[in-house]
Amino acid sequence: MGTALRYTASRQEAMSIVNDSFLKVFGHISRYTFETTFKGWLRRIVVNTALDHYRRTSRELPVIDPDGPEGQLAESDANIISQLTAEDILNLLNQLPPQYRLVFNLYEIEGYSHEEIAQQLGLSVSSSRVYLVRAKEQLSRLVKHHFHQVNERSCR
Amino acid sequence: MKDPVDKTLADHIRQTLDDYQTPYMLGAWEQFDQQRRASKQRLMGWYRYAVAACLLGGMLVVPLWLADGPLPTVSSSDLVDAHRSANPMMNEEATARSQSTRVDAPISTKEPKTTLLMPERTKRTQLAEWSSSRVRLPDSDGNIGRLSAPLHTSPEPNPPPNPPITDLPNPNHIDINRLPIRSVEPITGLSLLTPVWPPVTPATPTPVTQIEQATASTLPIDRTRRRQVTWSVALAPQSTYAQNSSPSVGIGGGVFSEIALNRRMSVATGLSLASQALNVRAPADMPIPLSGKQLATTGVQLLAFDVPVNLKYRFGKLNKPLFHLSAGLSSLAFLRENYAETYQIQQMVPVIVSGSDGQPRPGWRNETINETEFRSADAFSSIYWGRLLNIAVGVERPLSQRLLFSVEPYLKYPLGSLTQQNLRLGSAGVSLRVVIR
Repeated sequence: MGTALRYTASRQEAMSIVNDSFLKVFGHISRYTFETTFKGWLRRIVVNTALDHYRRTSRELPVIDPDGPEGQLAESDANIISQLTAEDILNLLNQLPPQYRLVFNLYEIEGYSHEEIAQQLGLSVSSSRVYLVRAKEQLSRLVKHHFHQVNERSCR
Repeated sequence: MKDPVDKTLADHIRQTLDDYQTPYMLGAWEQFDQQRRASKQRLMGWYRYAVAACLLGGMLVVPLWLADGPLPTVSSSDLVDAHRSANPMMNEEATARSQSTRVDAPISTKEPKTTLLMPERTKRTQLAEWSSSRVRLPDSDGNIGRLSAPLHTSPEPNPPPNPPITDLPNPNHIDINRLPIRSVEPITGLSLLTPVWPPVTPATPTPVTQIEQATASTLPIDRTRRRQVTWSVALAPQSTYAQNSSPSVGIGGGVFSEIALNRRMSVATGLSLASQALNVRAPADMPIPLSGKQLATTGVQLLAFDVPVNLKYRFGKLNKPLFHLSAGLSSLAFLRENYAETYQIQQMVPVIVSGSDGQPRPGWRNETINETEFRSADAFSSIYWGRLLNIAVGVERPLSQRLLFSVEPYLKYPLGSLTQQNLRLGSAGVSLRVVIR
Protein backbone atom coordinates (compact mmCIF):
# COMPACT_ATOMS: atom_id res chain seq x y z
CA MET A 1 0.00 0.00 0.00
CA GLY A 2 2.89 2.32 0.81
CA THR A 3 4.31 1.77 -2.64
CA ALA A 4 0.98 2.40 -4.31
CA LEU A 5 0.44 5.56 -2.31
CA ARG A 6 3.58 7.07 -3.79
CA TYR A 7 2.12 6.82 -7.28
CA THR A 8 -1.35 8.12 -6.71
CA ALA A 9 -2.93 11.23 -5.40
CA SER A 10 -5.63 9.52 -3.36
CA ARG A 11 -5.92 6.56 -1.04
CA GLN A 12 -8.82 5.25 -3.08
CA GLU A 13 -6.71 5.01 -6.21
CA ALA A 14 -3.90 3.43 -4.22
CA MET A 15 -6.35 0.87 -2.87
CA SER A 16 -7.50 0.09 -6.37
CA ILE A 17 -3.90 -0.39 -7.48
CA VAL A 18 -3.20 -2.69 -4.54
CA ASN A 19 -6.29 -4.77 -5.28
CA ASP A 20 -5.40 -5.05 -8.95
CA SER A 21 -1.88 -6.02 -7.97
CA PHE A 22 -3.11 -8.77 -5.70
CA LEU A 23 -5.42 -10.03 -8.43
CA LYS A 24 -2.37 -10.29 -10.67
CA VAL A 25 -0.45 -12.03 -7.90
CA PHE A 26 -3.22 -14.58 -7.38
CA GLY A 27 -3.62 -15.10 -11.09
CA HIS A 28 0.08 -15.52 -11.83
CA ILE A 29 1.44 -16.97 -8.62
CA SER A 30 2.85 -19.85 -10.67
CA ARG A 31 5.21 -17.42 -12.38
CA TYR A 32 6.90 -16.51 -9.14
CA THR A 33 10.35 -17.96 -8.94
CA PHE A 34 12.19 -18.07 -5.69
CA GLU A 35 15.17 -16.28 -7.20
CA THR A 36 13.93 -12.99 -5.80
CA THR A 37 12.18 -12.18 -2.57
CA PHE A 38 8.42 -12.25 -2.63
CA LYS A 39 8.36 -8.69 -1.33
CA GLY A 40 10.47 -7.53 -4.26
CA TRP A 41 8.26 -9.42 -6.74
CA LEU A 42 5.13 -7.97 -5.21
CA ARG A 43 6.60 -4.50 -5.21
CA ARG A 44 7.47 -4.76 -8.88
CA ILE A 45 3.92 -5.85 -9.64
CA VAL A 46 2.54 -2.90 -7.69
CA VAL A 47 4.82 -0.49 -9.54
CA ASN A 48 3.85 -1.96 -12.92
CA THR A 49 0.19 -1.80 -11.99
CA ALA A 50 0.63 1.82 -10.97
CA LEU A 51 2.26 2.51 -14.31
CA ASP A 52 -0.64 0.82 -16.08
CA HIS A 53 -2.97 2.98 -14.05
CA TYR A 54 -0.99 6.05 -15.05
CA ARG A 55 -1.15 5.08 -18.73
CA ARG A 56 -4.90 4.68 -18.51
CA THR A 57 -5.39 8.03 -16.86
CA SER A 58 -2.58 9.93 -18.55
CA ARG A 59 -4.87 11.13 -21.34
CA GLU A 60 -6.70 13.22 -18.79
CA LEU A 61 -3.56 14.78 -17.41
CA PRO A 62 -2.34 18.15 -18.62
CA VAL A 63 0.82 18.03 -20.69
CA ILE A 64 3.71 19.70 -18.91
CA ASP A 65 6.17 21.73 -20.83
CA PRO A 66 9.51 20.63 -19.42
CA ASP A 67 11.14 23.86 -20.54
CA GLY A 68 8.48 25.99 -19.01
CA PRO A 69 9.25 28.50 -16.32
CA GLU A 70 9.47 27.15 -12.84
CA GLY A 71 8.95 29.04 -9.66
CA GLN A 72 11.60 30.25 -7.41
CA LEU A 73 14.14 27.58 -6.65
CA ALA A 74 14.46 26.73 -3.05
CA GLU A 75 17.21 25.21 -1.03
CA SER A 76 16.12 23.26 1.98
CA ASP A 77 18.23 22.67 4.96
CA ALA A 78 19.38 19.18 5.78
CA ASN A 79 17.99 19.63 9.29
CA ILE A 80 14.58 20.40 7.99
CA ILE A 81 14.68 17.42 5.63
CA SER A 82 15.47 14.98 8.39
CA GLN A 83 12.32 16.00 10.22
CA LEU A 84 10.05 14.94 7.38
CA THR A 85 7.87 11.95 8.18
CA ALA A 86 6.54 9.43 5.67
CA GLU A 87 3.10 11.07 5.70
CA ASP A 88 4.69 14.47 5.09
CA ILE A 89 6.63 13.08 2.18
CA LEU A 90 3.55 11.44 0.68
CA ASN A 91 1.66 14.71 1.03
CA LEU A 92 4.45 16.59 -0.67
CA LEU A 93 4.71 14.02 -3.44
CA ASN A 94 0.99 14.31 -4.01
CA GLN A 95 1.41 17.99 -4.70
CA LEU A 96 3.74 17.28 -7.58
CA PRO A 97 2.35 16.92 -11.09
CA PRO A 98 1.79 13.23 -11.82
CA GLN A 99 4.55 13.02 -14.41
CA TYR A 100 7.09 14.58 -12.04
CA ARG A 101 5.98 12.32 -9.23
CA LEU A 102 6.29 9.21 -11.38
CA VAL A 103 9.74 10.06 -12.69
CA PHE A 104 10.95 10.95 -9.22
CA ASN A 105 9.62 7.72 -7.73
CA LEU A 106 10.90 5.52 -10.50
CA TYR A 107 14.34 7.07 -10.56
CA GLU A 108 15.04 7.90 -6.95
CA ILE A 109 13.18 5.14 -5.14
CA GLU A 110 12.80 2.21 -7.54
CA GLY A 111 16.18 2.76 -9.15
CA TYR A 112 15.06 2.79 -12.79
CA SER A 113 17.35 4.39 -15.35
CA HIS A 114 16.18 7.30 -17.48
CA GLU A 115 16.06 5.00 -20.49
CA GLU A 116 13.76 2.60 -18.69
CA ILE A 117 11.57 5.43 -17.44
CA ALA A 118 11.35 6.89 -20.92
CA GLN A 119 10.32 3.52 -22.29
CA GLN A 120 7.74 2.89 -19.57
CA LEU A 121 6.13 6.30 -19.74
CA GLY A 122 6.50 6.92 -23.44
CA LEU A 123 8.76 9.93 -22.98
CA SER A 124 12.05 10.93 -24.41
CA VAL A 125 15.10 10.36 -22.23
CA SER A 126 15.76 14.06 -22.07
CA SER A 127 12.19 14.70 -20.92
CA SER A 128 12.69 12.17 -18.17
CA ARG A 129 15.83 13.95 -17.03
CA VAL A 130 14.13 17.32 -17.10
CA TYR A 131 11.12 15.99 -15.21
CA LEU A 132 13.40 14.64 -12.53
CA VAL A 133 15.22 17.94 -12.12
CA ARG A 134 11.93 19.82 -12.01
CA ALA A 135 10.48 17.35 -9.53
CA LYS A 136 13.43 17.82 -7.20
CA GLU A 137 13.26 21.58 -7.50
CA GLN A 138 9.55 21.66 -6.82
CA LEU A 139 9.93 19.23 -3.97
CA SER A 140 12.61 21.39 -2.33
CA ARG A 141 10.35 24.38 -2.61
CA LEU A 142 7.44 22.44 -1.19
CA VAL A 143 9.55 21.21 1.71
CA LYS A 144 10.59 24.72 2.58
CA HIS A 145 7.03 25.93 2.27
CA HIS A 146 5.84 23.05 4.40
CA PHE A 147 8.20 23.92 7.25
CA HIS A 148 7.42 27.59 6.93
CA GLN A 149 3.78 26.74 7.59
CA VAL A 150 4.69 24.42 10.46
CA ASN A 151 6.81 27.13 12.08
CA GLU A 152 4.04 29.67 11.70
CA ARG A 153 1.57 27.33 13.38
CA SER A 154 3.99 26.61 16.23
CA CYS A 155 4.64 30.35 16.75
CA ARG A 156 0.94 31.03 17.16
CA MET B 1 24.85 24.00 -2.76
CA LYS B 2 21.66 22.76 -4.36
CA ASP B 3 22.87 19.29 -5.42
CA PRO B 4 23.87 18.09 -1.93
CA VAL B 5 20.51 19.28 -0.61
CA ASP B 6 18.67 17.41 -3.35
CA LYS B 7 20.70 14.31 -2.66
CA THR B 8 19.94 14.54 1.05
CA LEU B 9 16.26 15.00 0.31
CA ALA B 10 16.15 12.09 -2.11
CA ASP B 11 18.04 9.81 0.28
CA HIS B 12 15.74 10.72 3.12
CA ILE B 13 12.63 10.14 1.04
CA ARG B 14 13.95 6.78 -0.17
CA GLN B 15 14.84 5.64 3.31
CA THR B 16 11.62 6.85 4.88
CA LEU B 17 9.31 5.41 2.26
CA ASP B 18 11.15 2.10 2.08
CA ASP B 19 10.32 1.47 5.71
CA TYR B 20 6.85 2.94 5.50
CA GLN B 21 3.91 0.64 6.04
CA THR B 22 0.37 1.78 6.16
CA PRO B 23 -1.89 0.40 8.86
CA TYR B 24 -4.38 -2.20 7.73
CA MET B 25 -7.55 -0.61 6.46
CA LEU B 26 -10.71 -2.12 7.81
CA GLY B 27 -12.76 -3.73 5.09
CA ALA B 28 -9.86 -3.76 2.65
CA TRP B 29 -9.84 -7.53 2.38
CA GLU B 30 -13.60 -7.68 1.92
CA GLN B 31 -13.36 -5.10 -0.83
CA PHE B 32 -10.59 -7.05 -2.50
CA ASP B 33 -12.51 -10.31 -2.18
CA GLN B 34 -15.57 -8.72 -3.72
CA GLN B 35 -13.47 -7.41 -6.60
CA ARG B 36 -11.88 -10.83 -7.05
CA ARG B 37 -15.26 -12.58 -7.17
CA ALA B 38 -16.64 -10.03 -9.59
CA SER B 39 -13.66 -10.49 -11.85
CA LYS B 40 -13.98 -14.27 -11.70
CA GLN B 41 -17.71 -14.15 -12.33
CA ARG B 42 -17.17 -11.82 -15.24
CA LEU B 43 -14.74 -14.29 -16.75
CA MET B 44 -16.96 -17.26 -16.04
CA GLY B 45 -19.95 -15.43 -17.44
CA TRP B 46 -18.17 -14.78 -20.69
CA TYR B 47 -16.98 -18.36 -20.79
CA ARG B 48 -20.47 -19.72 -20.26
CA TYR B 49 -22.02 -17.48 -22.84
CA ALA B 50 -19.24 -18.36 -25.27
CA VAL B 51 -19.93 -22.06 -24.74
CA ALA B 52 -23.64 -21.47 -25.26
CA ALA B 53 -22.97 -19.47 -28.41
CA CYS B 54 -20.73 -22.24 -29.74
CA LEU B 55 -23.43 -24.80 -29.03
CA LEU B 56 -26.01 -22.67 -30.73
CA GLY B 57 -23.77 -22.04 -33.71
CA GLY B 58 -22.92 -25.71 -33.96
CA MET B 59 -26.54 -26.73 -33.83
CA LEU B 60 -27.46 -24.33 -36.58
CA VAL B 61 -24.44 -24.69 -38.81
CA VAL B 62 -24.30 -28.45 -39.02
CA PRO B 63 -27.73 -28.84 -40.63
CA LEU B 64 -27.01 -25.88 -42.89
CA TRP B 65 -23.77 -27.45 -43.92
CA LEU B 66 -25.52 -30.70 -44.64
CA ALA B 67 -28.15 -28.91 -46.62
CA ASP B 68 -26.03 -26.54 -48.65
CA GLY B 69 -22.55 -27.84 -48.23
CA PRO B 70 -19.91 -27.43 -50.88
CA LEU B 71 -20.25 -29.84 -53.70
CA PRO B 72 -17.37 -32.24 -54.06
CA THR B 73 -15.67 -32.09 -57.39
CA VAL B 74 -16.56 -34.83 -59.79
CA SER B 75 -14.23 -34.56 -62.72
CA SER B 76 -14.76 -35.96 -66.12
CA SER B 77 -11.84 -38.26 -65.51
CA ASP B 78 -13.76 -39.79 -62.64
CA LEU B 79 -16.55 -40.63 -64.99
CA VAL B 80 -14.22 -42.02 -67.57
CA ASP B 81 -12.47 -44.11 -65.00
CA ALA B 82 -15.75 -45.43 -63.81
CA HIS B 83 -16.78 -46.45 -67.27
CA ARG B 84 -13.43 -47.91 -67.97
CA SER B 85 -13.40 -50.03 -64.91
CA ALA B 86 -16.75 -51.46 -65.86
CA ASN B 87 -15.85 -52.15 -69.43
CA PRO B 88 -12.56 -53.83 -70.08
CA MET B 89 -12.86 -52.95 -73.71
CA MET B 90 -12.72 -49.34 -72.78
CA ASN B 91 -9.28 -49.86 -71.39
CA GLU B 92 -8.20 -51.32 -74.62
CA GLU B 93 -9.71 -48.47 -76.49
CA ALA B 94 -8.31 -45.82 -74.30
CA THR B 95 -5.48 -44.90 -76.53
CA ALA B 96 -7.50 -45.17 -79.66
CA ARG B 97 -10.16 -43.07 -78.09
CA SER B 98 -7.93 -40.10 -77.77
CA GLN B 99 -7.27 -40.12 -81.47
CA SER B 100 -10.88 -40.93 -82.28
CA THR B 101 -9.81 -43.81 -84.52
CA ARG B 102 -12.09 -46.70 -85.06
CA VAL B 103 -10.40 -49.82 -86.10
CA ASP B 104 -12.59 -52.74 -85.57
CA ALA B 105 -16.10 -51.94 -86.42
CA PRO B 106 -17.19 -50.45 -89.68
CA ILE B 107 -19.31 -47.48 -89.18
CA SER B 108 -22.11 -46.54 -91.39
CA THR B 109 -22.16 -43.08 -92.77
CA LYS B 110 -25.67 -42.85 -91.54
CA GLU B 111 -24.64 -43.51 -88.10
CA PRO B 112 -25.90 -40.94 -85.70
CA LYS B 113 -22.99 -38.95 -84.47
CA THR B 114 -24.58 -38.35 -81.21
CA THR B 115 -22.11 -37.28 -78.72
CA LEU B 116 -23.05 -37.35 -75.15
CA LEU B 117 -21.53 -34.12 -74.25
CA MET B 118 -23.10 -31.92 -71.71
CA PRO B 119 -22.95 -28.24 -72.40
CA GLU B 120 -20.75 -26.02 -70.37
CA ARG B 121 -22.55 -25.34 -67.14
CA THR B 122 -21.86 -25.26 -63.56
CA LYS B 123 -21.23 -28.57 -61.98
CA ARG B 124 -24.06 -28.02 -59.63
CA THR B 125 -26.54 -27.69 -62.46
CA GLN B 126 -25.09 -30.63 -64.28
CA LEU B 127 -25.21 -32.82 -61.27
CA ALA B 128 -28.72 -31.76 -60.46
CA GLU B 129 -29.83 -32.70 -63.92
CA TRP B 130 -27.81 -35.82 -63.81
CA SER B 131 -29.44 -36.96 -60.66
CA SER B 132 -32.94 -35.77 -61.38
CA SER B 133 -33.89 -36.67 -64.89
CA ARG B 134 -31.48 -38.63 -66.96
CA VAL B 135 -29.87 -41.17 -64.83
CA ARG B 136 -31.23 -42.97 -61.93
CA LEU B 137 -28.43 -43.05 -59.48
CA PRO B 138 -27.71 -45.87 -57.14
CA ASP B 139 -30.22 -45.93 -54.37
CA SER B 140 -29.43 -46.83 -50.82
CA ASP B 141 -29.40 -50.51 -51.71
CA GLY B 142 -26.98 -49.98 -54.52
CA ASN B 143 -29.52 -50.66 -57.27
CA ILE B 144 -28.94 -48.75 -60.39
CA GLY B 145 -31.47 -47.49 -62.80
CA ARG B 146 -30.94 -47.35 -66.46
CA LEU B 147 -30.08 -44.67 -68.89
CA SER B 148 -33.37 -43.78 -70.44
CA ALA B 149 -32.09 -41.49 -73.13
CA PRO B 150 -28.91 -39.81 -74.19
CA LEU B 151 -28.03 -37.06 -71.85
CA HIS B 152 -27.62 -34.26 -74.30
CA THR B 153 -26.76 -33.69 -77.82
CA SER B 154 -23.46 -32.17 -78.61
CA PRO B 155 -23.07 -28.45 -78.86
CA GLU B 156 -22.20 -28.78 -82.52
CA PRO B 157 -24.18 -26.50 -84.77
CA ASN B 158 -27.22 -28.25 -86.17
CA PRO B 159 -26.44 -31.57 -84.63
CA PRO B 160 -28.03 -34.54 -86.27
CA PRO B 161 -31.10 -35.74 -84.47
CA ASN B 162 -30.79 -38.69 -82.24
CA PRO B 163 -31.69 -41.87 -83.93
CA PRO B 164 -35.08 -43.18 -83.09
CA ILE B 165 -34.90 -45.98 -80.69
CA THR B 166 -36.23 -48.31 -83.29
CA ASP B 167 -33.17 -47.68 -85.42
CA LEU B 168 -30.83 -48.77 -82.79
CA PRO B 169 -29.41 -52.20 -83.12
CA ASN B 170 -30.41 -54.94 -80.87
CA PRO B 171 -27.66 -54.96 -78.33
CA ASN B 172 -28.02 -58.67 -78.08
CA HIS B 173 -26.47 -58.79 -81.49
CA ILE B 174 -23.64 -56.48 -80.72
CA ASP B 175 -20.27 -57.75 -79.88
CA ILE B 176 -19.76 -55.40 -77.06
CA ASN B 177 -16.04 -55.95 -77.00
CA ARG B 178 -15.76 -54.59 -80.47
CA LEU B 179 -17.50 -51.38 -79.84
CA PRO B 180 -15.22 -48.43 -80.36
CA ILE B 181 -15.32 -45.60 -77.99
CA ARG B 182 -15.05 -42.03 -78.92
CA SER B 183 -15.12 -38.89 -77.07
CA VAL B 184 -15.68 -35.43 -78.27
CA GLU B 185 -13.14 -32.79 -77.61
CA PRO B 186 -12.93 -30.70 -75.63
CA ILE B 187 -13.80 -32.77 -72.65
CA THR B 188 -15.41 -30.29 -70.43
CA GLY B 189 -17.55 -30.78 -67.43
CA LEU B 190 -19.28 -34.08 -67.49
CA SER B 191 -18.62 -35.24 -70.99
CA LEU B 192 -19.38 -38.84 -71.44
CA LEU B 193 -18.13 -41.55 -73.59
CA THR B 194 -20.55 -43.12 -75.92
CA PRO B 195 -20.32 -46.18 -78.03
CA VAL B 196 -20.50 -45.61 -81.73
CA TRP B 197 -23.14 -47.83 -83.11
CA PRO B 198 -22.37 -50.31 -85.85
CA PRO B 199 -24.36 -50.14 -89.09
CA VAL B 200 -27.99 -49.83 -88.39
CA THR B 201 -30.00 -52.88 -88.96
CA PRO B 202 -33.67 -53.01 -88.33
CA ALA B 203 -34.36 -54.52 -85.05
CA THR B 204 -36.96 -54.60 -82.44
CA PRO B 205 -36.61 -51.81 -79.96
CA THR B 206 -34.91 -53.30 -77.05
CA PRO B 207 -33.52 -51.29 -74.24
CA VAL B 208 -29.86 -51.32 -74.14
CA THR B 209 -29.90 -52.81 -70.76
CA GLN B 210 -26.78 -54.81 -71.10
CA ILE B 211 -24.60 -51.87 -71.76
CA GLU B 212 -26.36 -49.77 -69.27
CA GLN B 213 -26.12 -52.24 -66.50
CA ALA B 214 -22.49 -52.78 -67.16
CA THR B 215 -21.78 -49.11 -67.06
CA ALA B 216 -24.43 -47.89 -64.72
CA SER B 217 -23.45 -50.20 -61.96
CA THR B 218 -20.23 -48.35 -61.75
CA LEU B 219 -21.51 -44.90 -62.46
CA PRO B 220 -20.02 -42.51 -59.99
CA ILE B 221 -22.11 -42.37 -56.93
CA ASP B 222 -23.55 -38.94 -56.54
CA ARG B 223 -21.61 -37.74 -53.62
CA THR B 224 -23.42 -34.47 -53.82
CA ARG B 225 -26.66 -36.06 -52.84
CA ARG B 226 -27.69 -34.14 -49.81
CA ARG B 227 -29.60 -35.22 -46.83
CA GLN B 228 -33.01 -33.70 -46.49
CA VAL B 229 -33.14 -31.21 -43.69
CA THR B 230 -36.31 -29.79 -42.31
CA TRP B 231 -36.78 -27.00 -39.85
CA SER B 232 -39.50 -26.58 -37.36
CA VAL B 233 -40.75 -24.13 -34.78
CA ALA B 234 -42.47 -25.55 -31.73
CA LEU B 235 -44.52 -24.32 -28.84
CA ALA B 236 -45.01 -26.70 -25.99
CA PRO B 237 -47.38 -26.27 -23.06
CA GLN B 238 -46.03 -28.56 -20.43
CA SER B 239 -46.31 -29.75 -16.91
CA THR B 240 -43.22 -29.86 -14.77
CA TYR B 241 -42.77 -32.13 -11.83
CA ALA B 242 -40.13 -33.12 -9.34
CA GLN B 243 -40.00 -35.33 -6.30
CA ASN B 244 -42.29 -34.02 -3.55
CA SER B 245 -43.81 -31.43 -5.80
CA SER B 246 -47.20 -31.05 -7.31
CA PRO B 247 -47.18 -30.68 -11.09
CA SER B 248 -47.24 -27.14 -12.34
CA VAL B 249 -47.90 -25.70 -15.75
CA GLY B 250 -45.17 -24.11 -17.82
CA ILE B 251 -44.52 -23.18 -21.39
CA GLY B 252 -41.67 -23.90 -23.71
CA GLY B 253 -40.70 -23.48 -27.29
CA GLY B 254 -37.81 -23.61 -29.64
CA VAL B 255 -36.34 -24.11 -33.05
CA PHE B 256 -35.51 -27.57 -34.27
CA SER B 257 -33.93 -29.18 -37.27
CA GLU B 258 -34.31 -32.67 -38.54
CA ILE B 259 -31.84 -34.46 -40.72
CA ALA B 260 -33.22 -37.40 -42.65
CA LEU B 261 -31.13 -40.53 -42.47
CA ASN B 262 -33.44 -42.43 -44.78
CA ARG B 263 -37.12 -42.36 -45.65
CA ARG B 264 -38.18 -43.32 -42.18
CA MET B 265 -35.38 -42.48 -39.82
CA SER B 266 -34.11 -39.04 -38.97
CA VAL B 267 -32.10 -37.26 -36.35
CA ALA B 268 -33.80 -34.33 -34.73
CA THR B 269 -32.06 -31.69 -32.73
CA GLY B 270 -32.55 -28.08 -31.82
CA LEU B 271 -32.75 -25.55 -29.06
CA SER B 272 -35.61 -24.94 -26.76
CA LEU B 273 -36.35 -22.72 -23.83
CA ALA B 274 -38.85 -23.61 -21.18
CA SER B 275 -40.10 -21.52 -18.32
CA GLN B 276 -40.88 -23.73 -15.36
CA ALA B 277 -42.12 -23.02 -11.89
CA LEU B 278 -42.90 -25.46 -9.14
CA ASN B 279 -43.21 -25.74 -5.44
CA VAL B 280 -41.24 -28.49 -3.75
CA ARG B 281 -42.10 -29.68 -0.28
CA ALA B 282 -39.35 -30.70 2.05
CA PRO B 283 -39.24 -34.45 2.68
CA ALA B 284 -41.37 -35.50 5.61
CA ASP B 285 -38.60 -37.55 7.13
CA MET B 286 -36.22 -34.62 7.18
CA PRO B 287 -34.69 -34.35 10.67
CA ILE B 288 -35.48 -31.22 12.63
CA PRO B 289 -32.31 -29.21 13.07
CA LEU B 290 -31.25 -28.08 16.53
CA SER B 291 -31.73 -24.48 15.55
CA GLY B 292 -35.41 -25.21 15.12
CA LYS B 293 -35.27 -23.71 11.61
CA GLN B 294 -36.71 -26.30 9.29
CA LEU B 295 -37.12 -26.07 5.55
CA ALA B 296 -40.76 -26.38 4.63
CA THR B 297 -41.09 -25.62 0.94
CA THR B 298 -38.97 -24.36 -1.88
CA GLY B 299 -40.43 -22.32 -4.68
CA VAL B 300 -38.42 -22.91 -7.81
CA GLN B 301 -38.45 -20.74 -10.91
CA LEU B 302 -36.41 -21.97 -13.81
CA LEU B 303 -35.66 -20.99 -17.36
CA ALA B 304 -34.25 -24.11 -18.93
CA PHE B 305 -32.14 -24.16 -22.06
CA ASP B 306 -32.58 -27.58 -23.62
CA VAL B 307 -30.65 -29.18 -26.46
CA PRO B 308 -32.27 -32.48 -27.42
CA VAL B 309 -30.83 -35.04 -29.77
CA ASN B 310 -33.50 -37.52 -30.76
CA LEU B 311 -33.85 -40.33 -33.21
CA LYS B 312 -37.17 -40.25 -34.98
CA TYR B 313 -38.81 -43.17 -36.72
CA ARG B 314 -41.81 -42.73 -38.97
CA PHE B 315 -44.22 -45.51 -39.52
CA GLY B 316 -47.28 -45.87 -41.64
CA LYS B 317 -47.64 -45.14 -45.32
CA LEU B 318 -45.47 -42.34 -46.49
CA ASN B 319 -48.21 -40.58 -48.43
CA LYS B 320 -50.59 -40.49 -45.51
CA PRO B 321 -50.45 -38.71 -42.20
CA LEU B 322 -47.48 -40.16 -40.50
CA PHE B 323 -47.13 -41.25 -36.98
CA HIS B 324 -43.70 -41.08 -35.55
CA LEU B 325 -41.91 -42.19 -32.47
CA SER B 326 -38.86 -40.38 -31.24
CA ALA B 327 -36.48 -40.99 -28.41
CA GLY B 328 -33.23 -39.47 -27.33
CA LEU B 329 -31.40 -37.48 -24.74
CA SER B 330 -31.44 -33.85 -23.78
CA SER B 331 -28.62 -31.79 -22.40
CA LEU B 332 -29.64 -28.72 -20.56
CA ALA B 333 -28.52 -25.72 -18.62
CA PHE B 334 -30.45 -23.10 -16.77
CA LEU B 335 -30.52 -19.48 -17.72
CA ARG B 336 -32.43 -18.56 -14.63
CA GLU B 337 -32.57 -20.44 -11.35
CA ASN B 338 -34.39 -18.73 -8.53
CA TYR B 339 -35.28 -20.33 -5.25
CA ALA B 340 -37.51 -19.09 -2.47
CA GLU B 341 -36.92 -21.30 0.54
CA THR B 342 -39.53 -21.07 3.21
CA TYR B 343 -38.38 -22.13 6.65
CA GLN B 344 -40.52 -22.79 9.65
CA ILE B 345 -39.00 -21.61 12.87
CA GLN B 346 -40.29 -22.83 16.21
CA GLN B 347 -40.12 -20.10 18.80
CA MET B 348 -41.19 -19.86 22.42
CA VAL B 349 -43.15 -16.65 22.80
CA PRO B 350 -43.88 -15.17 26.25
CA VAL B 351 -47.58 -14.92 26.94
CA ILE B 352 -49.77 -14.10 29.88
CA VAL B 353 -51.95 -16.98 30.91
CA SER B 354 -54.44 -17.21 33.67
CA GLY B 355 -53.41 -19.52 36.41
CA SER B 356 -55.52 -22.04 38.27
CA ASP B 357 -56.37 -19.35 40.77
CA GLY B 358 -57.61 -17.08 38.01
CA GLN B 359 -54.68 -14.74 38.37
CA PRO B 360 -52.70 -13.85 35.23
CA ARG B 361 -49.32 -15.49 35.15
CA PRO B 362 -46.48 -15.27 32.68
CA GLY B 363 -45.99 -18.30 30.50
CA TRP B 364 -44.59 -19.47 27.18
CA ARG B 365 -46.25 -20.57 24.06
CA ASN B 366 -44.71 -22.38 21.11
CA GLU B 367 -45.22 -20.51 17.86
CA THR B 368 -44.26 -21.31 14.32
CA ILE B 369 -42.93 -18.48 12.24
CA ASN B 370 -42.39 -18.67 8.50
CA GLU B 371 -39.25 -17.12 7.10
CA THR B 372 -38.41 -16.99 3.42
CA GLU B 373 -34.93 -16.78 2.00
CA PHE B 374 -34.28 -16.05 -1.65
CA ARG B 375 -31.40 -17.51 -3.54
CA SER B 376 -30.43 -17.65 -7.18
CA ALA B 377 -27.77 -19.33 -9.26
CA ASP B 378 -25.80 -17.89 -12.14
CA ALA B 379 -26.82 -18.57 -15.69
CA PHE B 380 -25.11 -21.64 -17.13
CA SER B 381 -23.57 -22.37 -13.75
CA SER B 382 -23.81 -26.05 -14.63
CA ILE B 383 -24.40 -27.92 -17.83
CA TYR B 384 -26.17 -31.23 -17.47
CA TRP B 385 -25.13 -33.41 -20.36
CA GLY B 386 -27.63 -36.03 -21.49
CA ARG B 387 -29.53 -35.83 -18.23
CA LEU B 388 -33.05 -36.11 -19.66
CA LEU B 389 -34.54 -39.00 -21.55
CA ASN B 390 -36.96 -37.83 -24.23
CA ILE B 391 -39.78 -40.00 -25.45
CA ALA B 392 -42.41 -38.70 -27.82
CA VAL B 393 -45.11 -39.94 -30.13
CA GLY B 394 -46.52 -37.67 -32.76
CA VAL B 395 -48.60 -37.27 -35.82
CA GLU B 396 -48.03 -34.99 -38.78
CA ARG B 397 -50.56 -33.46 -41.11
CA PRO B 398 -49.64 -31.44 -44.17
CA LEU B 399 -50.78 -27.84 -44.12
CA SER B 400 -49.46 -26.93 -47.53
CA GLN B 401 -46.86 -28.13 -49.93
CA ARG B 402 -44.07 -26.92 -47.72
CA LEU B 403 -45.63 -26.88 -44.29
CA LEU B 404 -46.54 -29.65 -41.93
CA PHE B 405 -48.27 -29.44 -38.62
CA SER B 406 -47.20 -31.86 -35.99
CA VAL B 407 -48.71 -32.67 -32.63
CA GLU B 408 -46.35 -34.50 -30.38
CA PRO B 409 -47.08 -35.54 -26.81
CA TYR B 410 -43.78 -36.02 -25.05
CA LEU B 411 -42.21 -36.97 -21.79
CA LYS B 412 -38.85 -35.86 -20.45
CA TYR B 413 -37.74 -38.22 -17.78
CA PRO B 414 -34.80 -37.22 -15.55
CA LEU B 415 -31.88 -39.62 -15.57
CA GLY B 416 -30.18 -37.78 -12.75
CA SER B 417 -30.47 -34.79 -10.52
CA LEU B 418 -30.72 -31.33 -11.99
CA THR B 419 -30.48 -27.76 -10.71
CA GLN B 420 -28.48 -26.46 -7.78
CA GLN B 421 -30.93 -28.15 -5.46
CA ASN B 422 -30.42 -31.54 -7.09
CA LEU B 423 -34.04 -31.90 -8.11
CA ARG B 424 -35.08 -34.79 -10.28
CA LEU B 425 -36.93 -32.54 -12.61
CA GLY B 426 -39.06 -33.95 -15.38
CA SER B 427 -41.72 -32.62 -17.64
CA ALA B 428 -44.46 -33.77 -19.92
CA GLY B 429 -46.45 -31.86 -22.45
CA VAL B 430 -47.59 -31.53 -26.00
CA SER B 431 -45.34 -30.05 -28.59
CA LEU B 432 -47.22 -28.19 -31.31
CA ARG B 433 -44.89 -27.88 -34.20
CA VAL B 434 -44.87 -26.32 -37.62
CA VAL B 435 -42.43 -28.07 -39.90
CA ILE B 436 -40.98 -26.26 -42.88
CA ARG B 437 -39.89 -28.60 -45.62
